[in-house]
Amino acid sequence: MSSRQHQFDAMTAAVADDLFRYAVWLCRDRDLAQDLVQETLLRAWRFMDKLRDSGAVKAWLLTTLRREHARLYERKRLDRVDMDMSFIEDESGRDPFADAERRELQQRIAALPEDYREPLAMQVILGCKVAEIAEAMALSESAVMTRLFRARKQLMDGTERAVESVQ
Amino acid sequence: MNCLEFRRACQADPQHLTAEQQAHRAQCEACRRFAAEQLDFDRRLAAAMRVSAPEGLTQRVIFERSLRGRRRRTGWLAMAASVLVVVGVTSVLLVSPPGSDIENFTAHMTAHPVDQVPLAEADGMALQRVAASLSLPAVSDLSEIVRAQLCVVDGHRGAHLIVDSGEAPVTAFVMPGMTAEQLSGLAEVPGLSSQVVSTRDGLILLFCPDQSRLVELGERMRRQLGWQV
Repeated sequence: MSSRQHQFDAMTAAVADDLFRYAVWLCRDRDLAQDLVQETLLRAWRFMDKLRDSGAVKAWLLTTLRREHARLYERKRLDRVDMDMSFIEDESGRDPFADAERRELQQRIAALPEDYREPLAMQVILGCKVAEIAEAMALSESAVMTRLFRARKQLMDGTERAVESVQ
Repeated sequence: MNCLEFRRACQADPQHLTAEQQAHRAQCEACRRFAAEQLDFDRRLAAAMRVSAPEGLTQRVIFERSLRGRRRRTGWLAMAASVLVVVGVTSVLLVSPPGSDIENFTAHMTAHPVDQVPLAEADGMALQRVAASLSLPAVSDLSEIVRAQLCVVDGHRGAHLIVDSGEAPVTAFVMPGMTAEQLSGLAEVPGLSSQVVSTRDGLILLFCPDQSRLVELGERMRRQLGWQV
């Protein structure tokens, strides 16, 4: 196997699952997310010789996936508003209360506007810094900070209201 | 820095506080508690967002990568060869490119799933035709063969058989004249085990979710075919 293949296989093993998680929060559809990740990584295969710097790889993958996602909506005119929670699989653990809390939080995340949900997914799942998010989304860093702040505040306020209603 | 500025920055990015923000946190007990709450929420957020990835995603991407590269190479070589050599009325002899991968056999299986391979019994002569076309002796003695068709995988002609092993069906490729050197690498496909029987007369490749049957079945097929190790 060539070093190019080794490099690609190692990169895929390192990023595929997290790219999928980011994609699934972006498009809220597991099958679509798989397609996006596969297409993104296969495009990366074509450009492997140029993607030498590991930092550049992450940014490139992110940009490519976002572009593919946008193109998909242009082609298929998918409904961005409709929310179907079936994209989150049931992962029941031993603690039903923790499971219910996690599920509630997942619903709130899914209900966030895409402008808030996407930078949050980049930060939390992919570990992107504010500067990286700003570059990927073509925003200023202060705009990214504002969106992240609003996303978290909305989620925390919703969580607190849920706790209060139970008490 | 005042508390409002600290809390806005902290709530946006609780994991990466600047030196100035860290200094404020050290001095302000209320903001210190706020920062701890943000980190705790961040942990719950991360746990909620880390949904399960589909099993075998990495392997599928790597597998697809290998197929795309091979299709491009094989397609070009096949076109070049078909211009140079044409044999027979109904068939085109393809100059087989070097390094046939097991990946191509799994691609062939994907393209020809079990239920689309002709039934050996229902078609009556399907198995005999396959055996005769490949000059294979006695393969029809294997009564568990339920489906059979001729196949061409990466330029090599052979028999694509479905063997009823009692539980999951076994897909077997009997490839006369093919050598182990013409196989390069073994791609892992989630949920599928493989076995290669290499003989002086050709290769037998077996695929099944259940590994335990493959060695015995491969050896039995080799003996039935009369192929020498």
